[in-house]
Amino acid sequence: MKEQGVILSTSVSKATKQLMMANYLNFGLLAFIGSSMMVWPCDGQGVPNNATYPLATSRTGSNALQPFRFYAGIHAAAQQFRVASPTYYTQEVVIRPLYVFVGYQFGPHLGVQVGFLQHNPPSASYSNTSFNQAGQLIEGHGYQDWYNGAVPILLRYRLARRPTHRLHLDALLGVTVEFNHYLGDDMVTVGGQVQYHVHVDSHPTNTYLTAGLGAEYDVTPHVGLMVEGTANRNTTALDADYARKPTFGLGAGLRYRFNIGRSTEQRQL
Amino acid sequence: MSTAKPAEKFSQAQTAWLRFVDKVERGELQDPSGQYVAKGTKAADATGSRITRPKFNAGTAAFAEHYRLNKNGEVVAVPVLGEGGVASKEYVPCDCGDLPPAPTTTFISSQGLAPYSGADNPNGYIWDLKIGHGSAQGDHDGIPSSYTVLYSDLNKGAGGPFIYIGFTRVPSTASENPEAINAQPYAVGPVVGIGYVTKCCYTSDYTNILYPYFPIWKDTGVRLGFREYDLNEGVGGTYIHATLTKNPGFGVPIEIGVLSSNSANAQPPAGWAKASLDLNEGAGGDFIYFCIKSH
Repeated sequence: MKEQGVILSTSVSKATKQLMMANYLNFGLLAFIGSSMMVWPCDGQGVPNNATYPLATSRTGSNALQPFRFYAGIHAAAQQFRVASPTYYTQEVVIRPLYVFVGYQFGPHLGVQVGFLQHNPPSASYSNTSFNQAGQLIEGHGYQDWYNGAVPILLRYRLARRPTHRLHLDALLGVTVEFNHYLGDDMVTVGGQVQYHVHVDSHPTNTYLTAGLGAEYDVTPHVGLMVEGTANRNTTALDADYARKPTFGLGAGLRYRFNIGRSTEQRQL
Repeated sequence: MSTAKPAEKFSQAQTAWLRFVDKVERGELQDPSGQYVAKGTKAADATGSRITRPKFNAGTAAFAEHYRLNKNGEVVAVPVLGEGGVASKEYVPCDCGDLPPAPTTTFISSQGLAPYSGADNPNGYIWDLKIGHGSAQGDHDGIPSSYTVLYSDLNKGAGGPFIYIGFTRVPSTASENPEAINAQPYAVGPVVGIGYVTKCCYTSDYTNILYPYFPIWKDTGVRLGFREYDLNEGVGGTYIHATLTKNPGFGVPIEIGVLSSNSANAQPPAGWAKASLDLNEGAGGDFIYFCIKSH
C-alpha cells in the first residue's frame, strides 16, 4: 500500500488535470466519460501508473489523493424475500424493479453501502361466486393491500489482486432489513351466512443475512457497469423451516463515483 | 290519453329506454350527465389516467333528476346546468316530462345454448370461458370460433370496445389455458365458479389471492401468451379481471348469464344468482352483472 501511495502521490497528473478541466467546464456526464476515456485507455488489465484510479486510494493520511470515496448506484433489480410475521403466514415477496444505493470507499478494496428498494403494488379486491352441493350460494369477498421495502447495508470488497483492474469482481456481505405491510380482509358466506372472516393487518420487520457476488466494468474513473447476484437468509424467521430457506436477487446497472473528497489543491488545478 | 294497460305501458317505457341507450351509443343523442356515452368513446383525462363516470340507479331520485319520459314516451336526458353538473329542467328549457324511465333489464344466459353430451362431458357442463372484444358489434377477438358467445356487451352504455364472454361445453375444442400447460391443479374440468379481481396490472402480485381461481383469459392464439382482459377496458372506472375456478371443492358446475340494467337492484330469473360486482363499476353505462345457476 505504501508503494502504491507513493505512486499516487505523483499522479495528480496530466490525466487528472484533464479530468478536472472537463468537470469544471461542466460538459456533463458525456464530457466526463469522453475525457476519462481519452486519458484512460482500456487495456483490459489496468491503468497506467500515472493515472488516478478511483479506488486506488492512499492510506498516507492525506485525503488529497482520495478523489472518489463516495459513490452512488442504481440497478434494475429484483430481490426475493421470505417474510415471516407473528400474525400471518410467511409470505414470499419480490421487490422490484429498482435498487438505489450510496456508499463510501474506505480503501482500494473495501467499501460500505446502504441501499433501498421497494415495491408498492396497487391494492386489490376480489369476489367469487359459486354454488355448493346443497344449492346454497357461496360468496367470497376480500381485499388486500401490501407494501414491501428493503434496506441492504453491505460491505463491498473488491476481489482483485490489483485494485486498478477495470474489470473486477466484488464480494458483498451484510444485513438487509425488510419492512412489510400486509392488510387483508377475507370473508366467505354460504347461503348468506358468514362462514369465515379473517382480517389481517400485519407490519413485520425481518432482517436477513445477505451475501453476494458482483462484477463491475469501469467505463471511466467515474462510471462503472455492474451486475450482481445476492442471496438472503432470514435471521428473524418464526417458522424456520420455510422462512429461512435462502432467497435470491439479481441486479444490473450503474455505479457513479463522486469527487466529493477532492482536496483544495485539486480544485485549484 | 293513453289506453295502454299498465303492463304494456311498462313495456313501452322499457323499449323507450333501450332505444335511448342505443341512440346514445350510436352517437345520435348525447347524455349530458355523462353516464351513457357513444360506443368507442375512450375514457381518459389529459394525462391518460383512468377517470370515473357518474352512475344513476333507476328508481332513485337522482336517476329521475337526470332522465325523464316526455309526452311522446321518449326518454330525454335532462340538460345539465351549473357547477358539478347538477341537472335542472327549471333552468334549461326542456320538454322533459315528469316521469322517470322505468327500470329496464336484459338477461342472456348459456342455458340451453350449444348443448353437448359427448362421452368426455356427458352432462354438457360448461368446460371453459373466454373474454373477447371488438370495435364493432358482434366482434369477439379472443373468443375462439368454436365457443358460443353471449352477445351482451359487458361495456354496455359506457363507450369503449364491445366486450363479450363466450363458453364451450366441448372439452376437445377448449383452449389450452396457461394453467393447464403449467399442469396446475384443477386447471381442466367443468367451470364451478366465477369471480373477479379488481386491480391493475400484474398477475404475479396477486396470484395468492387469485387461487384457486384462474383468469378468464383472452385467447390470443399464442401458447402461454393468453392475456387477462380488463372488463372496463377503454371506459375507465375500476380495473376488473374476471376469474373462474374448476376446483370441485369450491362448487358444482354452473351455467352463466349476463344481466344488464339501468338499475342496480335488477334481479335475474328465478334459480339464478347475481354476482356482487357491477362490471361497469365507475365507468358509467348500465349496471352489468355476471349471474350463475347451478346444474
